[in-house]
Parts: sequence; C-alpha cells; structure tokens
Amino acid sequence: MNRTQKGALFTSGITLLLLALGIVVIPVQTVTSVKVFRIWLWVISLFIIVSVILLRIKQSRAEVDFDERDNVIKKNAVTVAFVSLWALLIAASFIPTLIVGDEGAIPVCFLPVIHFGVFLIVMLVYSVAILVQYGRKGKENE
Amino acid sequence: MNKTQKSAWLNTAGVLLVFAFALYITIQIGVRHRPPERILLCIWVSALVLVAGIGIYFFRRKQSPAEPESDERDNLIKHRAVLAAFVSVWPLFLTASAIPKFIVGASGSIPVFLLPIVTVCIFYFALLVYSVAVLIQYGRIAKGEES
Repeated sequence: MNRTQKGALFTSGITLLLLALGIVVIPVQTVTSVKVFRIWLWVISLFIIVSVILLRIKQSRAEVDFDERDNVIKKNAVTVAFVSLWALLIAASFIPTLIVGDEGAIPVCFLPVIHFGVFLIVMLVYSVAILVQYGRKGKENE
Repeated sequence: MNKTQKSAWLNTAGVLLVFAFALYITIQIGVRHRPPERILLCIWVSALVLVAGIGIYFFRRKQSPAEPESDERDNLIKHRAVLAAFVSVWPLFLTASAIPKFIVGASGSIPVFLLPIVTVCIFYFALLVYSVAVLIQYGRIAKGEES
C-alpha cells in the first residue's frame, strides 16, 4: 500500500468517525446522557496519531512520495469529489425547505454544521474514489 | 483560440453578467426599496442573449477541420482548473457560514429560501474561478512558447 492509498484510507476513517460523532454520538449523549462523547474524542485522537505514524512509514527507502499514476488518480478523485459537492449542496439547499416549509427559517448556527457535514462527505467521496481507482488498477494488473 | 478557451471566455462573460445583475437587484430592492427598472432589465437580457449567441457561434466554429475536441494539454489544464475551483469553494463556505451570524446575530434565523440562492452564488463563483484558471494557464503556456 503506497502513501496515497494510506492517506485515502486514513481520511476515510477520520471522516467516518467524525460523521458518526455528529449523527450518532452527540444525539445519543443528548437523549440518554451516556458519556460517550469524550470516549469518542479519544478514539478519534488515537486514530489520528496511529494514522500519522503509519503514514510516515515507507514500504522501502527507495519509495517515492507519489508518481505519475498517483497524480492521475488524485486528479480523477478531485473531479468526482467536485461533482459530488454540487449534488450535496443542492440537497443541503432543498432538504431544509422540505422539513420546515417554504416560509420557514433555520437558526444560523446550523449553517456551519451543514457546511462542515458537506465537507466531511466530500472528503469521504474523494478518499473512496482514490481507493476504488487503486482497486480497479490492481485488478487490471492481475 | 481552441474550444476550451472559448468556453472559458463564455463562462466568464456569463458569470460576470449574472453577478452584475444580482448586484443591481440587491441594491435596487434591498437598499433603495424600488422595483428594478424595465429598461435595465431589457438591456441585461439583451446582453445575456448576445453573449450566449456570440459564444455558441464561436464555440461551434473550428480553427481548422482537423482541430480535435480536446487534447492531452487541454485535459491537464481542465483538471488543474477543477482543483483551483474545488479549493476556492471552501473559503466561500466559511464566509457563507459566518456572514449570516454577523447580520442576524448568533441566535438569529434565516429564511430557508436563501439557501438555494447562496448555493447558486457559490456555484457561479466556482465557475468563474474555473474559467479564469483555464485562461491564466493558457496565457502562461502561450508566454512559455513565445520565450
């Protein structure tokens, strides 16, 4: 597994952990008053530390940081993430209308939450696009 | 001028026209509390039709019958421009999250119909960044070829 793949795998892990924090952990703590928030933050911190350590370990001393193929894969992943960003933004614009109605309003404190959620999902799409492309190329080589 | 450059010019002109119109509407309705003037609306629609017409005409006209739709260099330039647009979207998100707080306060609310408008503004800005990035890269490459 090269550096780009490891980076994509760790980014997927961190984004999934953060999304779970927002979707599952915070609502559970609010409803049941079980203290999972702090434990979850420890899990995320540990994951980040382990990821950084593993990312710095090279397969061999001669391993380059990235090559031409990695660049092509990353560029394709950016395009996929960019397209998904617009789909998500359209959804983020219309879902509140469906929930509160055409003449409703949403608190401004929700805007950073919505935008951060979109950012996390886009990063997840970017990482998954990288991993899928490496998977495909690996199969082609076989 | 190849097809990618032409479409970048067309996008830039279209986006600037839309921004100018949005600015005029905001000032007219939001600040002056008056309906937009019909003559200016007519001028704007005519300008938009003119830009679209000229754009489509030049877009369809090839430099030569052998001109390809796009080559390796065009693809590279477009990929880099997408990256530039992608990066530019995130500061806009931060701005779009922070500005309403300053206007209505931290505990205030905004109407939901504003959300699609914000999204469209961010989209047009990203399109502008994309087109300008394409044009800058072609400009640089042309300069490199001259020297």
